[in-house]
Amino acid sequence: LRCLTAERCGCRLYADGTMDGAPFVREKHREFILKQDAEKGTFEYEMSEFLRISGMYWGISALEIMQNRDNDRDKELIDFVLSCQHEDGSFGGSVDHDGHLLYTLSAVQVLAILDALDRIDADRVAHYVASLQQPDGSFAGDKWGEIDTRFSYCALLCLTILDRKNFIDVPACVEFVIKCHNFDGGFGCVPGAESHGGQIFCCVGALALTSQLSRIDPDRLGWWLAERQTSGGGLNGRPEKLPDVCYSWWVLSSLAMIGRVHWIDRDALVRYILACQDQDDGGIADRPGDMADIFHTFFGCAGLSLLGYEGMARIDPVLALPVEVVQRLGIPRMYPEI
Amino acid sequence: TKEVISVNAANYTAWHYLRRCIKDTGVDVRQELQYVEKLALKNPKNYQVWFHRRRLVELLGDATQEKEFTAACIEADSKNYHAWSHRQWAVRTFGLWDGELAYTQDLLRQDPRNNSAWNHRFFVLTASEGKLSESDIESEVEFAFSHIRRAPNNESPWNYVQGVALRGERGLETLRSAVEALAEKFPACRFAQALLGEILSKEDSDESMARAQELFLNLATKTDTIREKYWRFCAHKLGERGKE
Repeated sequence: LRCLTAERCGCRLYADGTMDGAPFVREKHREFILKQDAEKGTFEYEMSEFLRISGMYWGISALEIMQNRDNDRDKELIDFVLSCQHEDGSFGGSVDHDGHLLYTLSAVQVLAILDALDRIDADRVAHYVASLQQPDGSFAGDKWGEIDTRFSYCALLCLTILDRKNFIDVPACVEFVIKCHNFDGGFGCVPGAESHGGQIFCCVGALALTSQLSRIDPDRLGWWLAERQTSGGGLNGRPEKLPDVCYSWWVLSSLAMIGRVHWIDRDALVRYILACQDQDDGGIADRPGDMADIFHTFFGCAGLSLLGYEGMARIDPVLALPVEVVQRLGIPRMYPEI
Repeated sequence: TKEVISVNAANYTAWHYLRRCIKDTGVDVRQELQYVEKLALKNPKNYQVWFHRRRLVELLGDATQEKEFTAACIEADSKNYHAWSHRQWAVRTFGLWDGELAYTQDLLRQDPRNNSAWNHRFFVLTASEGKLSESDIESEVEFAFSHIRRAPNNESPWNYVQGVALRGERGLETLRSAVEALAEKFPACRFAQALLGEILSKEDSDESMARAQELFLNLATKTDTIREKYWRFCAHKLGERGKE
């Protein structure tokens, strides 16, 4: 047995040939996440201002999954989210940034986790989301018109959390997603586009949110998804590409939604995710040895949660929210028992 | 606004502002295209740059530079999802189908593992030609197999050949003898065994089903152990059918 990830991955190989993954450095990850905010004024912080609200979602969710979050700053976080809202109901990525569906979703997700959805006018947000639907059922990301199945999922998820799916034409939304179903069983960003793990998550998520998973063959898609596992245990997003920790979410949650998580070699993937940690400074990277970032920290934690890793709170693969939050919101489970 | 973009091309608010400037001040759109080209090569994975390019091309109503432009991006990063998506958009919107098959052929000769190129080929074949003729299917299947023979453990042409065959009257059955030969020639190739197993499992004879079972179990225990659970599922599913 040989660890096919990297040299200093932290895997422990025993004399009898068995192997443990690197230890999960929960406290270091917590410090890493909390440190992000203290980096105000650094180049990286300023460069990522436009997606600050998504960064908040990734950080808060990761801490929740690790069962390691204090709520002492909740008021401050909620106030920040609300300060990103516009008249039309949309949210921008940060203060004074234009409204966009991506950041509107992140805002709603953060408020859901912090139990502050009552602070917004759900009708107004829902109207904004509905305004982005196109005649062919697809969704634009904002008023400028970029079309992508990512936005179909964002719209549906946002409206599901707000319990206002009736604001949009759901059947038309579904039909556009189905048009993106490819010859290999996967989905792309628009009809004909290459099957991609991230896009598949969005399309399968959209079908799960609308109870339309029967429209696809779960065995065929499940096989394509299972094929993403490389010899080192990690998952890639497309054939013949390198593994990346974020696919531990996109691909794994897709499998969870169609009830086929067990088609992945669990132990091999756990070892890969653990190997992507920065054992010294905390955080999780895309690949062993690379620099950690909050995006991959969240997806690594989410992946471990789906794999039932010890000490992780459960995450809902369809809604990408802690199960505890989903239950509090009263949203029914839309995937088979994992 | 361009200074902001040059430092941080992912700042989507800056792009909105730029588009409003272009719209309201009557700028030379062709110059803007050149500007975006430089930026795309520097920031090839940035959604905003690509979307901006698309808007400019739409404004101009002229996509004649798009093939060259996307080809340059693809040369720098052959699997860039945005570049391929943009190329598909330009080809589909402006009817630029000519030369696309040859383009994918070229790229695949250089790197047969380029899944994006395989996908683009399928897109061109099925979008422009409508229904595929039997002779089209035959030549595409042979095209895929020629690449498989050179590198049998490359997933992409295996997916492609199935997609193409399924468009024909006889479905996967057309591939049977070729796949049998490949499975024998490359006994460690999991794709050959998987496809052969699938083809055999669809045949009605007890013998085919038994061989398919054997292949699935071989995949589970020897050739593709990381997906053991999946292969055991396939074997089990076949077993259940056999009982019926």
